[in-house]
Amino acid sequence: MNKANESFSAFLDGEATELDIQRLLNAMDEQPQVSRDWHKLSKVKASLQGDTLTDVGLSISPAVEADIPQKNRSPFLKRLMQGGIAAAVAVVTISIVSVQNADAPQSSVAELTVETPEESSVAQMQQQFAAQQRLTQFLKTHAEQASFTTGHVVVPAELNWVEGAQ
Amino acid sequence: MTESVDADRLLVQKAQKGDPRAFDLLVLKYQHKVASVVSRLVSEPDAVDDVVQDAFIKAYRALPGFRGDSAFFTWIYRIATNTAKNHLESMGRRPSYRGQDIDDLGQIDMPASLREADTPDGLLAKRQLEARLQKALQALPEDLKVALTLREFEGMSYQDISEIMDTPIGTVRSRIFRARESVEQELTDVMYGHSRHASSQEV
Repeated sequence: MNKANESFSAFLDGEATELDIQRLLNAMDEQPQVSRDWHKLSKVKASLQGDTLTDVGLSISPAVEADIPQKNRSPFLKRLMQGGIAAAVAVVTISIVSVQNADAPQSSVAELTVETPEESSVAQMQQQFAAQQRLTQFLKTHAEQASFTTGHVVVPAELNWVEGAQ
Repeated sequence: MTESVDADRLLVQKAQKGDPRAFDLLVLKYQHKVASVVSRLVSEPDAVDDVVQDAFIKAYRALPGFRGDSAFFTWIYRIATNTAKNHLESMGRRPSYRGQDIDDLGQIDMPASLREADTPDGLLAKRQLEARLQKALQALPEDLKVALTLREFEGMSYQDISEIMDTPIGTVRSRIFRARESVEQELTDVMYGHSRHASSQEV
């Protein structure tokens, strides 16, 4: 362990080699409490340099490690979560579109094409259904792609209004 | 002896790849320097550690975006300064140093002896530390004392020290380490008895 301590001393002076760094990292794995010895050495150097002494080096690890689960999630898990968010947004978007369609007054287009009401109505519904399917698929694909590339998704303006109202 | 490398850059790269040990090493290396920066801005000794810790946590979170255009210490220095300013603002105070605008900080040329440890407790801790440091240095064997003195007070590289002492670099490394180890053993009770925010001045 003396060798690792010597490497740390050189590291403090900016004189460490790549081998020193590897030795330090290995020592931290083998003996986690070695950081305490190094902290003491760092205090000696700081005392000689006239720096303000602190013990943050001993307490920072838990704080930093608390951040790691978020940062080191596997790419698969990240992708899964992003997919979930994208799917959720797609569902919300579809719901909003459906509600808008349901609330919308019957358009004059329907009234203009009423020659054979029953046939037109069926054809129109089929067209409307197909269009809605395409729209749904487009929104879903777009939201998923956006989440994979940027981590963000397209959020409909209505959602902002809902958030603003809260 | 292989060439020394830019260890900070190497450790930043490892930390960016998710190795928390690498970041721990950077904290161990720079914690006191950062504390010195913070303690010039934040006068409450109890707040200094909190601000230093916040600064390092912020740095860790921001590490993926650190491109290495500047040195790690320059980067953490900026983060620490901003964290200290935010701390002061959150306390309802305009960031200042001892009543002087923080933007004028660069113009402050206060004697080192007055700059820090300006509370009775801090002054006492500083004086105790100084006295013990002197004593520990004087007690070192001559070769260790020379190596450490050239390094710490003259700021010489290992290469220069090896030439002056006419000894291999490996021996210089070893002497400096053993000198520090010896000083540490002499100072344990002082550093850990009054460690928090005891500031030391060059001896």
